[in-house]
Amino acid sequence: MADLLWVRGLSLTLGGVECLDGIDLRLKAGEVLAVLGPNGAGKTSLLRCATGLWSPARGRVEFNGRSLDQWPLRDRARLLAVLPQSPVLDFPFTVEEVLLLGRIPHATGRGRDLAIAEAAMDQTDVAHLRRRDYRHLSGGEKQRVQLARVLAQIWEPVDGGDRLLVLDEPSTSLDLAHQQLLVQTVHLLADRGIGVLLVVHDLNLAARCADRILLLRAGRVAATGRPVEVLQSETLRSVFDVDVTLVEHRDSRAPLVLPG
Amino acid sequence: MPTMPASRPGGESTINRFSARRTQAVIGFLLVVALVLALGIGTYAIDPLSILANLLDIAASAGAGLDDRIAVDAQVLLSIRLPRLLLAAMSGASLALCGAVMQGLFRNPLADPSLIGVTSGASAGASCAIVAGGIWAGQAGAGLPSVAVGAFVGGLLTTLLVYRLATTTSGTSVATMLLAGIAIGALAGALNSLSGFVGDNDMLRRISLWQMGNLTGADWRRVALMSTITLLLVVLLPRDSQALNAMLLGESEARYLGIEVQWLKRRLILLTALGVGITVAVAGALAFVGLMVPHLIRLLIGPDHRQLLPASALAGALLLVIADTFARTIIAPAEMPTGIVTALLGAPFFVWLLYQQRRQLAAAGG
Repeated sequence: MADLLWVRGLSLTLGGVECLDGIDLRLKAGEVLAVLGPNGAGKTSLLRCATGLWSPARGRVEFNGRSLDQWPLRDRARLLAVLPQSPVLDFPFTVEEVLLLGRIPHATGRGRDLAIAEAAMDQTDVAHLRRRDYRHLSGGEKQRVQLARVLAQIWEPVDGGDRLLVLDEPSTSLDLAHQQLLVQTVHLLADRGIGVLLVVHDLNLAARCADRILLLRAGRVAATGRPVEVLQSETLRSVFDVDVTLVEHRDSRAPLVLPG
Repeated sequence: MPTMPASRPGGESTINRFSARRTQAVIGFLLVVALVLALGIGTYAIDPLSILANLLDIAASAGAGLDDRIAVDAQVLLSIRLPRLLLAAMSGASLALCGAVMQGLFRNPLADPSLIGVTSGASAGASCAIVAGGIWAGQAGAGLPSVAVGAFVGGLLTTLLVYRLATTTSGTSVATMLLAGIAIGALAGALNSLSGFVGDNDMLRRISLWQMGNLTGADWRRVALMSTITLLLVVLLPRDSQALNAMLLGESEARYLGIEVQWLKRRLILLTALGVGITVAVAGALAFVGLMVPHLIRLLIGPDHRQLLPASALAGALLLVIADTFARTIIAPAEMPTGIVTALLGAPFFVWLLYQQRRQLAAAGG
């Protein structure tokens, strides 16, 4: 099967500083890839280049077998949704209206859009907030509403390719229960054939979500592979400069990283 | 499905709204009533109920053989009151539309053409056109076409400048936006004063009109120009309603939703500069209309541009018809500039908005 997202030799220079250097990355439909790394390693830059927001200095990005810049924006938006880190919205939209913004690229009609918004709100546990003013929500609630919005954007399969969801730090304001819900959501999406690319700080969250991990250090790939392969104390010490202890989760067998 | 905390009832920030369609219909009805009433009200009163019948009479006899009373009515209606009302209604509609669109473009509910300096820029452009046209081409050079072009160019340059200055990826800084407005207002004031040394008396009288919005110069030529522009805005701007909705989330978010953001911004900056510039050219600086109207409409029916734009256009027309009727009757037989009425309404409104924003920021801990 062809790759959903294929990044080859990606390099980016910002303000004279090389912040990405020769990154390769492949993601198949239904696969979850977590990008990890210390602050300033280039995670968000990689994500912006891989989603067509920034043009790289060198390298190629292909989405569904076609160069990213060859895609008409609207067709691409039906297949590729991106959750930004901290969106600002100063207008009095209700939660439900924010979700419906995610349906803008589609022309499925109001009835269908409302049904999809409803399902997406249920998935991230914000249905009870639907009539609330988005501006007055807490940080975690806003994050779940934005997650629901990007879910609504790629809720149904459409012609033209497989779907990709990109999440930049989706868990920063979430409490434990909603972090668990996020993990379930990511697995659900993967089961439905959606590729998920996510940037997270929490190594354990990445280990629970991801099929593969890409570890970045100073704009280069430090390690890549399955969570058990990448999350090794030697590797982590060299990338994050801390000593860690690794244990195994009793049920899922996912590696657990403990500091010290 | 996962089990999660039970639903909480909506708190105090639950949003209740009026039906958009019904609100638009009510505003449209009020606008028609206001237009008919305003046609009759004035130093020379005309019975509003007879207006329609008279207009039919006038049309039927093509101006010949009317009795005196109807002939005077017709004269007052056709050459004074109707053009002025139409000009007021269309200026109001254009300003409210441009205000709503700029607020979407700047992602900031305080972005009003008069506050961020676009109106000053347009009036400075208009003054320059009057003086330059007067010097190079005599009276003919200072006519409506050159003033309109000057106002449009002035408005466009200002919008581009403020947009560059104030907008970053994370939104628009209110402070930078308003400071830019102050700077451009000062520049426009200086240019206006400068033209006082260069221009003759006639130019000065005309320039002074631009300091404060004024509809006394209404005639059919201005109506024709303003209706062309209003029609253009009313047809073109609502096409970008969904794109504007997406823009409220942020520029990159709008791109991820499939919007060609660069083209959208160019198109909207051009159209709003055209709307504000031409309004300034025909009616002077009518401050705060673009701030008050979209804000009140958002409170009633929400920020969705698909409903906000048509409702704002209707409400802007309504507001300016009422404000202008006030301006020309309240100190009758004298008149005051319509811009004074909108400023008297708008300035306290703006202060109230600032207070609201401050409270919101405090509540958010920012």
